[in-house]
Amino acid sequence: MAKRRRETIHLGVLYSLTGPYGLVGREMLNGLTLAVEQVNASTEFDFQFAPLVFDPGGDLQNYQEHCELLIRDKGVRHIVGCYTSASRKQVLPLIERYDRLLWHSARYEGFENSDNVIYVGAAPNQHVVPLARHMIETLGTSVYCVGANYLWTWETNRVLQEIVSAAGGEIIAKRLVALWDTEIGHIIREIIERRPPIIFNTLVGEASYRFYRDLHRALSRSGGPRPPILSCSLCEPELRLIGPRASVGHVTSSVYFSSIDTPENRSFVRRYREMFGSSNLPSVDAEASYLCGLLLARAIRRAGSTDVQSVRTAVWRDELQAPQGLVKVDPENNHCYLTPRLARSRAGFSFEILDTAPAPVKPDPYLTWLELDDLARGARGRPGREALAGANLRVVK
Amino acid sequence: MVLKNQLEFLGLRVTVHDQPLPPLGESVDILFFDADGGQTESEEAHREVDFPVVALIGSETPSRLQAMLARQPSAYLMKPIRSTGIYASLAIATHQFSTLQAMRRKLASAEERLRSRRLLLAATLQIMKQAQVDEAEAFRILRRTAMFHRQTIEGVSAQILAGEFPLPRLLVG
Repeated sequence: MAKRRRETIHLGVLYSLTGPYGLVGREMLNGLTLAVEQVNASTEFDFQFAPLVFDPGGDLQNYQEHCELLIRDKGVRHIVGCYTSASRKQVLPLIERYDRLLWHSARYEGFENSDNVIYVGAAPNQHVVPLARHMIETLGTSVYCVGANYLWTWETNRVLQEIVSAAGGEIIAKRLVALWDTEIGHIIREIIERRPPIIFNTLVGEASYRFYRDLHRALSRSGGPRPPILSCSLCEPELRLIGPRASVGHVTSSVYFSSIDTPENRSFVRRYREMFGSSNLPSVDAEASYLCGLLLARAIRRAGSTDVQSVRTAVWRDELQAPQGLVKVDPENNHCYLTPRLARSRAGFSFEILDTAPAPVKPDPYLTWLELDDLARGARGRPGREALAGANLRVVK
Repeated sequence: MVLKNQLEFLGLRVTVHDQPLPPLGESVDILFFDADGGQTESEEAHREVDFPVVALIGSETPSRLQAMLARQPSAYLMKPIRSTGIYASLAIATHQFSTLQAMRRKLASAEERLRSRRLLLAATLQIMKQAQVDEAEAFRILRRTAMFHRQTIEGVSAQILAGEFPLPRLLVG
């Protein structure tokens, strides 16, 4: 390939670094920054990324305005950003109208496949479905759901309910609080009273941390078994915010944990800690945004251009040995093959991995290939409700 | 807002409400609602609608679609809303809604007739006994009476059973 001068490519970045989910936004910016530094320091790329970072602060109108600025004034072709689906839905019409490419690092509830988005975060068959399978096979089929009044909770509860019903189980209750409302005392009281064998938590932010802490305290006071709390989003930095004792023993379904034992991940974690502090472990969101940066850079290199159509075609051909394992983009739907895992939080604010999918899982954003009968069959022979309370998780693989 | 502008351009008078909707009263001819706003299905959503409803859809997740369908839309528009398609949605929504209303009326009428079957049978049997005729003739008498008095067969049956049609009057027609 002909040698080209080291040009500067402006990269739009739209992560909320402040506001209700500023923690996640900062995680994602960290991951992307690591990728940008890696690319810029490498001789294997003949361009430099110059990120143009905008912080919408969780406000949808700001997402709109910043996105317009990036596209129209700054002329960027590629934007890495968004966390909530509301923000993605807000900017998507703009991205599609101007035919740019949004690199989306956050896991989400699925049912979308825009030509102008590369979905690097997990799709529902890569997060809630493996969690549901693990639950009905090893823990039981009666579950109490707590969450917030927004799309992520509605949809993950819905999928869990479909799978649990097919397995002959039940959703004991669905308790929702207003989004960003941190008043969860009534839910804690109900849990202490009703003692559900399993809890599924889709709360986000401060409400979630309070839930773990207050429930831990209430259970310690009242005695009795501790039900496992399952989640698709609990991650390393959040364990620290919850606190040393209350953060232990929770099961999460995710495609990345910092304790993944591969050479690529050990290197990733080491470099992350060097850059962002030795007490910080990368989360799934940081790894995903790191992958956004790398996939984009490699696609630009392969295409020899930042042109959206060429880059998209180029990224479809890439296979990246990511910290989580092999990652590639599925040209059918612009989502990624990712490797789901189940892990339990332990002392020291990290996770012990219980189960890893044997190979990267093809993304299925519309759950077209969800096999309820297969899943239900796995529920047979599970221990009864009484036996489960307080039982230790057994390793599946 | 694109939708408001286009509807006004098409000659409609537009009022914008926040969800949850206040009671709308008689003056509304058509409702456009944001399917992404608000929570899951509410009691209000399942009430029978008195005017055509158009859904504005952003999220295609099944829970959102279910909540949207609970409000019984007769047409929909996908976000981002453009001026193209709004006029078509008016045409489709009003057509679908009037078809729905017509079917509801037919259904109500058919259910009513079904409920009245017992009445018809009882009246036919009574005529058979009183006039000493077979079933076919009794039914003919019943039908003739209904036609003559410009009533439904079900209505006349009820009256016969109530004793309002003595036999001579029936036979005369």
